[in-house]
Amino acid sequence: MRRRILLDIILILGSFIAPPWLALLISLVGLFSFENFYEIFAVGFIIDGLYGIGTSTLFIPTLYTVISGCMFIAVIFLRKHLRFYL
Amino acid sequence: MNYLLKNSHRGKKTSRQALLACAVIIILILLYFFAPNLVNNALFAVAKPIWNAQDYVVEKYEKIYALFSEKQKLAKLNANLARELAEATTALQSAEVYKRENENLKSLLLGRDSGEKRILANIMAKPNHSLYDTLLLDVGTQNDIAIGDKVLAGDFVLGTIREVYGNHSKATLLSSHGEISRVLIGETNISAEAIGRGAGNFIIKAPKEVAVTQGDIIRLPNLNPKFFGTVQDVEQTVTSTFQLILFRLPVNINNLRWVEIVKNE
Repeated sequence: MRRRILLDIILILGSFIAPPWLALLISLVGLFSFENFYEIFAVGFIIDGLYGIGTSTLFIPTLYTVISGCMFIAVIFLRKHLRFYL
Repeated sequence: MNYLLKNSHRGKKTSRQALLACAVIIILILLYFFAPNLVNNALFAVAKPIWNAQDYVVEKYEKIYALFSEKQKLAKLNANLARELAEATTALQSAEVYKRENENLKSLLLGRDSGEKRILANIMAKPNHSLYDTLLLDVGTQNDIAIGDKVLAGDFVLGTIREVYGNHSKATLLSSHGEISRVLIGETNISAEAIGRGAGNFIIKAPKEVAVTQGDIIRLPNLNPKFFGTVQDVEQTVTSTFQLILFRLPVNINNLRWVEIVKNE
């Protein structure tokens, strides 16, 4: 539990300070390390809320929320086929 | 370490988790679309002290680090001087264009006032490898900022204000992928469309007949000259009737701390 709280703090601070790709990479570690790592949605939501623009020409304004959701679902199904994980 | 059991029946659980994830995504997207002000203001209120603390720590670290490494200090000084030289060169180019344009306009527009109002803004967050290519600025409606205002670094246009909140605003860089801007090319003043290619780079597709050389200035078609960048390269092929003009902003967005905002003309 303590490890998870520590990772959550790093993750939330990271989503404000670090580049978005790095925050998502740390989230991936959390996804494989803990059950139901819903914190990843918070990361995507913070990044979209801070940097996303509703009238973006090329990307949807909630790109990172969608990416984090896809990562979450992908890891759920991936875990079924892994022999062991962290 | 968790081991996957051979005969585990986790199918139902997996589907339930996936459904729950989809529901969370939908709720967050709806929240983002239906309460953007609430989301932005709340996040900015949390982010501001974090970014201030980050700036403080980075500044302190840089000072301590400089004490211990003389080589690094010299390298930094060299980099600063190189940056200053690059800025001075571009400023000189701008001044040259100003001079000629001023001479031309004096006879036509004598006594006409441009009335340009500039507002200084601190960059709270930079694109920083984000796919959005946005700048987060610490000025908002309280500072008379409106959507469509131009973001400048010196006389070079960086972007346009796209979203404004009480005490902060978001600007999209003109060099964002797919952003189209109307510009004038070099001395010929030929109008063309510049397409953003990300990270301060642009491309223009123009007929081969348009005379362009490296170093030509690209600017906005306004009364007050606002520059876009300088031509870096011109690509031509024998078979094509068009040429590709590649140019970029002469300022490094990642090194900037302050920008100016000019009301949309």
